[in-house]
Amino acid sequence: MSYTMALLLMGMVGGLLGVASNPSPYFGALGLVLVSGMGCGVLAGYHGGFLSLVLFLIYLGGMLVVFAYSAALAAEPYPEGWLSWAVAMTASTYLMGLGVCWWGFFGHTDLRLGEGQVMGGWGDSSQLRGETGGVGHMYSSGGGGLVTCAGGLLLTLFVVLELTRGLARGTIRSV
Amino acid sequence: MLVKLQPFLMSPLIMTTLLLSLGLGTTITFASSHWLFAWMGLEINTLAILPLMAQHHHPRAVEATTKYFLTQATAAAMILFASTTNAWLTGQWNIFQLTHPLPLTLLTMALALKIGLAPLHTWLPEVLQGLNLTTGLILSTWQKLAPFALLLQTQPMNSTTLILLGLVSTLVGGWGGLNQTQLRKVLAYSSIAHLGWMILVLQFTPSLTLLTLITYFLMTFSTFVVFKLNNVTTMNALSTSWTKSPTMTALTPLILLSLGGLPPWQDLYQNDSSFKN
Repeated sequence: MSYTMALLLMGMVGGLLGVASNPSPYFGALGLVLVSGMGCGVLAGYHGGFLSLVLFLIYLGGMLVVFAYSAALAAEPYPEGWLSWAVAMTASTYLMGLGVCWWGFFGHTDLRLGEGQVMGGWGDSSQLRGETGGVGHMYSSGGGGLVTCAGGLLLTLFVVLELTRGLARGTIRSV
Repeated sequence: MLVKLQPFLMSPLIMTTLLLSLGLGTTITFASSHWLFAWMGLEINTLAILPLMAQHHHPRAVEATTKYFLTQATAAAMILFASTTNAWLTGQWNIFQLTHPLPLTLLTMALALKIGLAPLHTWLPEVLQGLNLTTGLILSTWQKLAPFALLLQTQPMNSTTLILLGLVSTLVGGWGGLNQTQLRKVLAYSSIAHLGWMILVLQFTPSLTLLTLITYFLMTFSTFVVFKLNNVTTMNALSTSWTKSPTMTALTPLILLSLGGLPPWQDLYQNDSSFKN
């Protein structure tokens, strides 16, 4: 089990590296698919089954699909994958940064890799008291936070619509 | 230019929504004790100002909007990273209780990127240059309030980090503004310098930081408004603005000298008290 978790965690960080190294959007979206798949596995491994399914459905199946469509609109004749020189250099720079973070986090604090539970701190380890309890709380006592998040998302919709308004006079197009 | 010069290029409804959201974001950050809500307020602020920045659809404005969005989103993500690291380390989500050095340093750098402190200041002159004066005013004043609320609350901060940030900001702000011909870039460097002073004194007397912030707001508000009224954005235009409004132009040096911190104005006494403290 710990081998599976280690694989999933390393796969997730590797996928994030692939996204952060600035390849073409096609490959970036592929990296994000890898990240969300691995992240889903990590969550499931830490007894967070509901959140893992939510991640798959909403993030991968909703937002990433829309992003893939947008990336298809920005098609390039010569897409740069991870084997191109510039992207590989960026990836290695981020790898060094990863090393620095590893040294800082695990060398200077008492955190250890793989520690932590999605369900930690809830008293009993009943399956219903964990992340599903958290979701329940989000709708009851955390209602203000939920409304704020929803308001923020609505604002994002208006902002995006305003930024892309107008065919030839639009913001993203040139003057 | 093919674009008509209009003051507002968006419908009154959306303009109201965006301005009220700007107010809402800062209010949420002020009122929050949980890092998640502080982050939400900052993000709402960032999002709400984007269409205001890009409303003239000029490529320069769009470039400024994109740069602003990228830097602010990075800073907000760093804030989230710092707060979740603190939650992992100490189990605390409270803003007052971020005390472990690792997330504290990360948070300080994130907030420095948010407000434009050196050495994380390079976006500020270019972004301010691409905006019209009114939007630049909102950027220089209102958008600084929420990060400062967070800076004032996460005490005590790492002394070395604050001193380094403040010192480099003061130097960069002073030297960077020297050979500028564009007034908005001068104002950007002035902002960096003033923020450097505010950060320097933060660890000793936080109330002095707040006082400096308020007086900086007053001075920079006056400067932006004077430039807006004379419709000047370059030194050249400023030198001929006496023909448009001679009295205003005669009084403008008072504001500018105040911004510069020369006697007998407010800023000198503040910098003096900062030294004494």
